[in-house]
Amino acid sequence: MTDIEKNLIELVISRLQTMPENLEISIGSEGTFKKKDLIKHVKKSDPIGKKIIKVELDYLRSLKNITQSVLNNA
Amino acid sequence: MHKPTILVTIPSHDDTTRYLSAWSKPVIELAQKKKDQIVILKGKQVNLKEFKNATEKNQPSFIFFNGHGNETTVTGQDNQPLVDADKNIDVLKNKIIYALSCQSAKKLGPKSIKHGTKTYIGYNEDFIFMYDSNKKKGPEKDETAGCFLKASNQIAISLLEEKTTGQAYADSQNAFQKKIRDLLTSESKKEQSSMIRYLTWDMKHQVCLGGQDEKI
Repeated sequence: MTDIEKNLIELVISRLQTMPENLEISIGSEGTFKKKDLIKHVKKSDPIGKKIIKVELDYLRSLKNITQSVLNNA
Repeated sequence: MHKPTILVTIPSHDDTTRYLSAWSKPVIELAQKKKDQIVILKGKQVNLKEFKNATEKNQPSFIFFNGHGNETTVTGQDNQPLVDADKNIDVLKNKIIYALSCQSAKKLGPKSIKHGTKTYIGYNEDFIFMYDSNKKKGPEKDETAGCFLKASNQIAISLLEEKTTGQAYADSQNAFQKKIRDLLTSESKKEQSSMIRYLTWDMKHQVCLGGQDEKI
């Protein structure tokens, strides 16, 4: 695993830590997941973990457009 | 006046399908209010045999699938396949489809358009939503899940309001954008701000394939 990948996993886990305990996430037929389950999957970097990392990366890449949309509609 | 026939599938066998089922009610109520002919397959009725019978007998112009799926399949109760890209794709011919399920717009959707489906609206990745585990017994009151499912179900609402497929897609995209904007610009709670990334994901992966000017 490269340093970038390790840093990315750390970043996603930090984000997940802020998720309230009462919330769960439904990922289609993969099932439903609590915060602690998601953190485990991300640490293992298994297919569910990789999916969560992909969502986070996608979100970070979209931030510029989202911010622009917020400003346009302010 | 033309009254469309609508087929809605609402399996209910796990948390995800129970939430989709609960949040499909406003769509069904609107169809009933407009006196559209609506055929509902729910729970154990959502199997291949009943689905085949319902489509042949009623010839719906619009099918609203709620449930699980993958790149080539949309499923019903206990994940039984209802439509398979390699087996019975012609069942979607001449119809408008909205599949609130994972990934089916990746392969099933494009293939169905080649086989004569008017419009296929769905998701080319997993549809992800958050919900409050304290509200599992009353999913229709769970506003966390509602943020996702209201925006996604705007497709069906707009189609029932006689809008075109392209407009219904735009309305749903706008509903996702509005929710994301609201969460970013208000003093939202921790649980709300953690939803933004998943709302963004669903919005980005919702696609409208085929005709953009079709009506149900």
